[in-house]
Amino acid sequence: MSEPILRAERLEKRYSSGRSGPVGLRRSVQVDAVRGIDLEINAGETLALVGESGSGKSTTGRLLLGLEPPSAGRVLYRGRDLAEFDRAAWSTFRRRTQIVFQDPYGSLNPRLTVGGMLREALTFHGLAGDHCTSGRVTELLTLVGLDPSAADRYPHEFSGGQRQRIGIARALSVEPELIVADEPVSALDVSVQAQVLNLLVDLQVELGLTYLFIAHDLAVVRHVADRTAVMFEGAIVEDGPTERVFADPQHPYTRELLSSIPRPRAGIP
Amino acid sequence: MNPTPLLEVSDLRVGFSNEEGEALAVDGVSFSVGAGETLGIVGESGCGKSVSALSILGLVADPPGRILPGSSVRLRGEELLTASPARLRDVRGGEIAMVFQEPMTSLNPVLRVGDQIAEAVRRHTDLRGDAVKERVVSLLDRVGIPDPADRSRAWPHQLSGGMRQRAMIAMALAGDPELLIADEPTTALDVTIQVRILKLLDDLRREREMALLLITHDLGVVAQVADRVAVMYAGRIVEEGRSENLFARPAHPYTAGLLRSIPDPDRPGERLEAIPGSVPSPHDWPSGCRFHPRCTVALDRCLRDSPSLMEAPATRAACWLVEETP
Repeated sequence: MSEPILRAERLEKRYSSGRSGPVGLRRSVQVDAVRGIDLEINAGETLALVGESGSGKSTTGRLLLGLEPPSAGRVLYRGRDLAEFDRAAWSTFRRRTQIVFQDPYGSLNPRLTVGGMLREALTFHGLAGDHCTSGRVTELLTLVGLDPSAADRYPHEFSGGQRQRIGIARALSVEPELIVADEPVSALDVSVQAQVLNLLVDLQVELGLTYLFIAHDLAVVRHVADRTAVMFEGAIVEDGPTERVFADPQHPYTRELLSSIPRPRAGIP
Repeated sequence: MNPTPLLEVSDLRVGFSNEEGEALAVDGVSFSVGAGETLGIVGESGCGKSVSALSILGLVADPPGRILPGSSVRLRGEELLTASPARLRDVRGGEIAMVFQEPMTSLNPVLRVGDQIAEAVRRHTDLRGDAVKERVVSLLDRVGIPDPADRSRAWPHQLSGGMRQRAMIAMALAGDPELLIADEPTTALDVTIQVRILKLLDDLRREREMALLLITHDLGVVAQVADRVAVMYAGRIVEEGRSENLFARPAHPYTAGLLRSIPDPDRPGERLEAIPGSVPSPHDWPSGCRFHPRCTVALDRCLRDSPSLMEAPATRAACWLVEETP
């Protein structure tokens, strides 16, 4: 079997959450956000990380991208420990791994036009050649289903779904191999969620992307993920092919989670 | 069928003003809720569902909001829109109570949970002294807060999201309401907590013969508890019917589109049927049927004429296709 893109080994993250208790008796409180998880993300697959708020799924995403150092354990990118990266290795890693956030309002710079934002990303990663940059911007906007004229407009001029498309275009601009999508559709209106999910699936096929899909919506996860890992209180309690996890959940928590999915009694023609 | 419904909203129109002028966030909405019944109002952000709910209790800030003449909200036949401020204060938390989406921002952070509920008990009952404390503890116990006597002395920040929402529900029950309006009561909660809160609301409705008006964007939530459902789009009700009929045989293309765009567990990985375009803004409602720019089966007349609710096979739908289909 080929080497995974990312591998987490006994990954742990502890936070010290300030102090609590009466004055004079204050103690700092340790929170174990991530408790020794092992995880692999293979090229071309969609791995979903599901769990409720506070389960540690977003922290795990941040640790895997090296946005925070782990308290213990390690993350390997194509077999190399992130902790041993030099400047050049970080630069490559930052370009090859991108993140799409939940909130398309808060994650775009309101003072830059969409074109300006995309050019900034290209320039930062040394991918901008003056004359071909605007062609690349047009190409990226078309790729995510936006009109090229969007380049001259500001984020506030777009709807939520369109802003999420802009966020995806920005992530794609630097030609990543892995995209971490942290609740990418949960802030969107129900009628536009499907548009963005379809786009993510299309882009994966077209560009051969690998996704780490962090989500709490199990219907969405079942739809997009090849493999599903369930997090509970900082640990992975179940990890397997999505169909297996949904059809035959082993852990009691997974069973509770699955039985909680609200579902309209569908029967639409 | 009861001749006078518990709550009857008719031709409700609510405008909001900004520098672009006045926009009708709610434009001619009518619905009724029978005693002990659960009506779910579903819609996406900006469709006017929350504004409709707030209008019932006179909670729309004026300005910028304004309930237009001709609108009517009647509680057992009594008009609430022209009621005196004193009468409205009695109705709020008395006959009609409300719980909101975010239990942290709706609780006062500097008052103990029990004291806030006690205030509601004193406001709406004749109980005083220790009897108030006892009522508070029994309410907290009823909504499933463990160790209620102890928890009544907790501060809001010491409770989890689910427990805070339970405390809000306890407060809403203080005046023994006939109607509970719940605006996205489970949206901010984790899924496993969501089902428990929905179950609690449904149990309370049954045992107290209380009606429930459930406002949500989540079709799954509505499917679980509502007897009847009204679907709102762009300030209007576009389809209405009994829950099982509406989900099984939707007549409006918007309702059908929403149901189809939800991933189907039996067909994982299959391409989703998305509704094209995005939700319009109240300052920019389309002409005719407001869904027509996103509708894949729109007729010429849909661009010009606005349809009202008509009898469809299983529901009532505001769609010209209903008339065209024999």
